[in-house]
Amino acid sequence: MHWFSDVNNLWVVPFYPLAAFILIVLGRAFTNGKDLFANKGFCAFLTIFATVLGLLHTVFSALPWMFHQGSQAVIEHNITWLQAGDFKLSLGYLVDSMSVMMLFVVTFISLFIQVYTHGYMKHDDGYAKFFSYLALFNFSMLGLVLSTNLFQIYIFWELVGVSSYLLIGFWFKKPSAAAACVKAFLMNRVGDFGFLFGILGFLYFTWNALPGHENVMTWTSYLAQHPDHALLSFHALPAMVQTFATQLSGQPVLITIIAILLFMGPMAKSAQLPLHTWLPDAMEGPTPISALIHAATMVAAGIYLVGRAYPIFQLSHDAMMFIAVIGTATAVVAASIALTQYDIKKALAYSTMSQLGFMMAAMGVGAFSAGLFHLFTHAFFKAMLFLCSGSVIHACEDNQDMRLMGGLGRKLPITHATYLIGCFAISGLLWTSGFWSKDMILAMAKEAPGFEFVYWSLAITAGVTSFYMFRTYFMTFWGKYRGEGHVHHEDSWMTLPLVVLALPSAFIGLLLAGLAEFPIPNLPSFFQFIHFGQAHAEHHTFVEAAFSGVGLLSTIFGVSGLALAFLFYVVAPSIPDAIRKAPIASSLFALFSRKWYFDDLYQGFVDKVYLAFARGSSTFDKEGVDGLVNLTGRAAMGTGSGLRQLQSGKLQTYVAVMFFGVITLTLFLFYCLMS
Amino acid sequence: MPDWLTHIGLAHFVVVSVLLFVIGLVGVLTSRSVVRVLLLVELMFSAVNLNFLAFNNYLHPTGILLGHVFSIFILTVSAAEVSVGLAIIIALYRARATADMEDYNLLKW
Repeated sequence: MHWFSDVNNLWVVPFYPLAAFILIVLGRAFTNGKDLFANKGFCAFLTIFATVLGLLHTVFSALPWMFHQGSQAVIEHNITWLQAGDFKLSLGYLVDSMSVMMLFVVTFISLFIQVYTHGYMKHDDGYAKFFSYLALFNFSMLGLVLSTNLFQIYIFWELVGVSSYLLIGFWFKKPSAAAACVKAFLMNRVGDFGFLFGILGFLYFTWNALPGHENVMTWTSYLAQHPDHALLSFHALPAMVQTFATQLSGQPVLITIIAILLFMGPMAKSAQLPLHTWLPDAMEGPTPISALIHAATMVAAGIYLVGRAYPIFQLSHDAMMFIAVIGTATAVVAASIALTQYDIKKALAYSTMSQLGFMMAAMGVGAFSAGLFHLFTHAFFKAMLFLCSGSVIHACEDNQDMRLMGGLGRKLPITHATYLIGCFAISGLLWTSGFWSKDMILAMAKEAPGFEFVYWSLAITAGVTSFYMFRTYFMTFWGKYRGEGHVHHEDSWMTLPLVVLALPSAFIGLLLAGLAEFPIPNLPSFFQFIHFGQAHAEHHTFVEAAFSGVGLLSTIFGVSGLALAFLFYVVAPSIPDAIRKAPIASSLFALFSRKWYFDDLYQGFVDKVYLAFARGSSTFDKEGVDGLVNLTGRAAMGTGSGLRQLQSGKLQTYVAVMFFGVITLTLFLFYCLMS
Repeated sequence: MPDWLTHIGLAHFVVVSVLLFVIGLVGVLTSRSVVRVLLLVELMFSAVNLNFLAFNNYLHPTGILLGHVFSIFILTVSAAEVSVGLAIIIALYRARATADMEDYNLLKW
């Protein structure tokens, strides 16, 4: 236990799943999938055991350390990875309240999703491979969380991308899954392109002192003073950002551009408009993946990164505004699309996207704690909702269409109950966890000057969220069964994680935000540990607002969403069809169900613009460049075919030419000697 | 009797040598039979040999036999060359069933 309780051993957490991954992959390679490694339970055991060890570390060392040390405590260790002159890149681990929070979320949710996976993938041929990928993902995600600097986080950022790619395309024999994983990879490539340029741009203006600013602290001088610190470390960002601002004081636009470039990474990873189109398609992967990677952890990495690099974004008001606008637009657009989805996983995917928009908007308005708190609570209830959907799909023999479900509440009582809790949580009703986090975002947005539109858009979206979530709930669990196949019973491997995740979904908001206002000594509150700038400032704004107008208003919106869903899908199921046929609503419905034409737009862009350009380039290459190269060849061949006419093959002609040649040369020589 | 008939000098030898060489050359250029070409090449060798001997006598009337040595050397080499040449001709004849120079056009483009 001593090993687990020493916080300096926390670096080992990502290596448990890495070891499990390597063991399973090598074990299966060397035994040809026979012996021990043919045993499904063994592979699952290795992966789950690795996650349990990680969770033990988090619970027994990181959490007590954080509670004891407070929010300012930081442990950072670096090793130099590569060095060239002054320039060096480091790998290391950074333990502070933010990484501890993410460690807890990742290990806790991973653990229960892996248990669930054992039930869900029991009959799949790729069972062991699936667990090895899960372990790989865990390694990448934990490494990302513990990264000390922007370069290291970029490395793990790509690694989670690869794991996500592998897992979306897990059923790669399905063409749609194969296409979806490629799409996810490509969309993320677009974002990572900007991300890398943002990192390099920031480094460019902080690496050395520019003329006229000789006294600023730069990375060169910083690393000279602190040789054990990392280049671009998060730890040094607040100080470096001052340098950045000073050096670029003449060109504030450049600061905004670099911040927005940096933001492109989170935009793709967290499925923000307009780089979001991969996330709904990513639902082609097995459901546990949708829960773990595409709802709870990896997509939240974008929010996490924005939080980590917050000092940079804060420099530019325009960049913050950009983030807020993108986040709000994502929340609104995704919620509107979710209204029209019949595929239960697609509906949940759009709701994930919408919630990520909430978090991003929170970061944009300066509600740092609120954004991360929503990340925290959302991870629990959205993972649970996805697992519920998996349980439903499992019961309906792989049917995902809600029009063919209904009445599953009696057959799947535990799934039913936990899904209901999840719906309350995401709608922010009944003081479940979502109430606290979402209303905190709303309260902060309302207080932020110049961001009123964010508040109103998000408040209405919260009502829409409640409507579409309860729509899926009523369509799935109420009424009569509309499908044809036999409905299977719940698997206890699958219901156990649901129950465990339901507890934090219901109570964690109350525990970490609600009760913090009561004078209970030593009660930890989320905002006490995770904050940017002044501690508690955000929290008090929230508490004042939540218990006056904001909480009431959002509850009213939430309840009306619930009531409307009840009316539309239980009391009078003919209403939705009637609305769909109404004149204005029908065009809106088309807009929403075609996903605001983003996919069509991209497809059109690729077909009409990109491919046309590619064809033009290809023609230029084939005709122009290759033509020039071929021309030299043709010239040589033409000269040759002209000259070879001389080769008559008649020996006597050769002799004559030779003879008269010698004569001519001799005469020439003679002439030269004479004159 | 004209002077050029009574005094046999270098010019006579050179004229005979040139005649021999030109006969050989014209023969080589015009003959169709490959065997005849080989014979006429030998004739051109003889012209060259004669030239060597004549000039040796003219330049060193007493003693030094440099040209003689050269011509004997050429005779030896040409004997070897003829044997190799005949062997090639026989091989060519076997391959192409002809001794006509016109038909030996493998080197044509």
